[in-house]
Amino acid sequence: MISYKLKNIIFILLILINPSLLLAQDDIKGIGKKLYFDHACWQCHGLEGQGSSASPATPRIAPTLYPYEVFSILTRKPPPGMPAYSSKILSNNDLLAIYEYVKSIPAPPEIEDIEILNDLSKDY
Amino acid sequence: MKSKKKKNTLGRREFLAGAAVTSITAPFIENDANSQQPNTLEKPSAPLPNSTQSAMEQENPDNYTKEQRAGYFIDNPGSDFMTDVVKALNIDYMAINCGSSFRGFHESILNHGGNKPEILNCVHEEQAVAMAHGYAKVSKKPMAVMFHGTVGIQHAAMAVYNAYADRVPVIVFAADHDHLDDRTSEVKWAHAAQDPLSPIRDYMKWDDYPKTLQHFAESSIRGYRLATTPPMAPIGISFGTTIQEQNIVEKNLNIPKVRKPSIPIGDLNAIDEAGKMLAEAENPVIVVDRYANSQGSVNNLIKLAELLQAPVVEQMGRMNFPNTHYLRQGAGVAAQADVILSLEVKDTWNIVNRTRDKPDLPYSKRTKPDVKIITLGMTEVIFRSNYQDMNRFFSADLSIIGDGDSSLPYLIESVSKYLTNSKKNQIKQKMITWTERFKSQKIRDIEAARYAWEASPISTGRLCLELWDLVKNKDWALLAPEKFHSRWPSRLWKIDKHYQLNGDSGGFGQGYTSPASVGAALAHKEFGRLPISIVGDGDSMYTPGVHWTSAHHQIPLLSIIHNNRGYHQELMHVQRMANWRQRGEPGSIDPGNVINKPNIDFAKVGEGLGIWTTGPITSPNQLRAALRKAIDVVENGEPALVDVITQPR
Repeated sequence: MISYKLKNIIFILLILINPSLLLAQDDIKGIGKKLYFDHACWQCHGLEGQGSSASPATPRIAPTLYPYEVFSILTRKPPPGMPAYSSKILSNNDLLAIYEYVKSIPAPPEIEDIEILNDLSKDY
Repeated sequence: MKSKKKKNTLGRREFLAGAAVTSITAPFIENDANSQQPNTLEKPSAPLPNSTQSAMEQENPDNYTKEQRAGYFIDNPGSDFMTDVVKALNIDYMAINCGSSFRGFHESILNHGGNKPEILNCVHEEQAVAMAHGYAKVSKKPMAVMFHGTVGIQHAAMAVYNAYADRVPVIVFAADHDHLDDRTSEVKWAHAAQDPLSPIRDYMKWDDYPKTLQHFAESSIRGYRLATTPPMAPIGISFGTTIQEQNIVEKNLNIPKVRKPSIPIGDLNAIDEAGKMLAEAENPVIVVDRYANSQGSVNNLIKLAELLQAPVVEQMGRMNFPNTHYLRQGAGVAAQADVILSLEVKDTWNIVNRTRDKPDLPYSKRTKPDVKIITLGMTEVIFRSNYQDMNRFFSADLSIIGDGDSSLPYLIESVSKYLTNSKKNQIKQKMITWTERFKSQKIRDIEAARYAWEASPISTGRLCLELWDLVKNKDWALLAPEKFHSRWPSRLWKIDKHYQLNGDSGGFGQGYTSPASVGAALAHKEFGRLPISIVGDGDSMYTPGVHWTSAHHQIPLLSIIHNNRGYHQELMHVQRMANWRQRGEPGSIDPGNVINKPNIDFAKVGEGLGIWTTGPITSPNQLRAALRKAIDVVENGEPALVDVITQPR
């Protein structure tokens, strides 16, 4: 199995050979975004991957906390609470595209930059 | 004189005859406006009066003979006495959707009772009961509701079940066309029953069908006592049109004194044993659900928790324990407990055990195998056979039947007695640990809130915290369950007053939140508080008519629609099934679960019902201004609604 690091190295080399692949990467994110919605990931993890504390509580998944391998394992054989997405309903390519999309979700502002949260944090 | 009078006013006979003609001809005239056909219905169809009737028309009704009066008037209707009975119960409001089977009672409340209890005009019985449900939890007084026969009872059923499952008192009056000759049409036959309250009997504490006025008085007071004695629940009194509408013939009618029974407390020996177990425990934990009725109850629980330095797990059936207190901890603390006090908890089994929503329904234990469980409360006192809201059976090590709120002072006394000085010193050390854990959790919650802060649709965290920032210095009360918006208020608002949260619906039937919030807002009105309700879009569509009631009765309430355009929990359930079965195309689970195409415009819905509205708010940048305007409206005494397009949870 190709490691995530190796995969990235190959990807960067490919981009150096053919820069148009950058566009392809954007396409993958776009496809991933659609798949994220179509496969209902957003239902529990939120449209921004922020997670929720509703029942069942679901973890935040964006910005990405895991390397692809872990992301894949958590999707195929999830902990209790999440239903398994087998390769029969979500192919490896589609899962990778979802991962690329989740990875691309920008980080939110820092607490210091959000006045309400900053004020709250001063109490603790 | 006679002829002159006739020219200026219509006699009863002429009025009736004219009305008959108008009601029959009007549709013809409207439909045939351009027709040149002459109107063929020129003669009144009402029968002409006989000579006796003609003579009477000119007389003062006070001079009629007894027989003459009997044909026209009721001098001393039974429902006047029934109104006096309801007044004796000291009930302030009666929520109704009007109906002919209680026209007598309705009229008596208005004209004999001076609209006391005050009639609340509801456009659906489900709404009426849910209003009573929310009201009682705030005011600690029951509201009465009145149903129109078979149809009203069936409309009301879901809300009665919610109130029952939430152990909240509601005084249900239900009318019936009991008299054969009163059933003047097929409509009245369809609205009559042998046993009107049977459809909802499984989820009331008690009901009766008194056939006499004295019986009505005694049953109403008996029912009131039962409803308001823990475990509280709705009770029902049905009655026919006969006792309402006919003259009172019963002699020596009297309304018994309304005296409330004392609240049952737990057996003092058992409480003493519980105190010993808790005092000797290394890691006691308190789990609490539907316990607190007042600030005094909250303060007592703080006292017990601090004595033991025991973490408190709040299950939110009521506001029991401040979320600002360092001993407020997450459910995970149960894992380390050696003794758990389960205080007015609906589902003790689930504190100790867990099954998972997976194909093989795996079982696991949440606690140590040798944990000792003490239950204290009235949960086990009122179970019915059919509806299974009793939850899974759990055999506690010490089970104390008694009202938790009233019993707690005795438990505190007992714990104090058994705590040795060395134990007290040992316990004190725990405060540092719990404070650190408490702060860490708050920091994690603040950190979690920043994710999706800039998102559109708006995150529930952003929604709740923008709202918090606007109300934090006001005297607010949050009236809606919060599990569908990630419990942000409990996580990050500062909630330390018993009235600031109003628990959940009990039976988890949709349609509760908006009307229960209006009822609760009515109870808050006299205190000048700012009542707030965050309601899901699915829930909102069950009983939207309540917004008209809030406008009509000028009940200030800030309603915020958490509009994620779907029945989100169900969407996840169906997705789970698809995943288990490894099938389905992307997006195949939407039908039946999403609420779009067209999107519901709640601002327009609310506007049509007469309340101030704004929305849909789609951008987080619009949110603060919209909420601020709505708060201004509510603070000026009117209801307001903000439709916010949100993230799922």
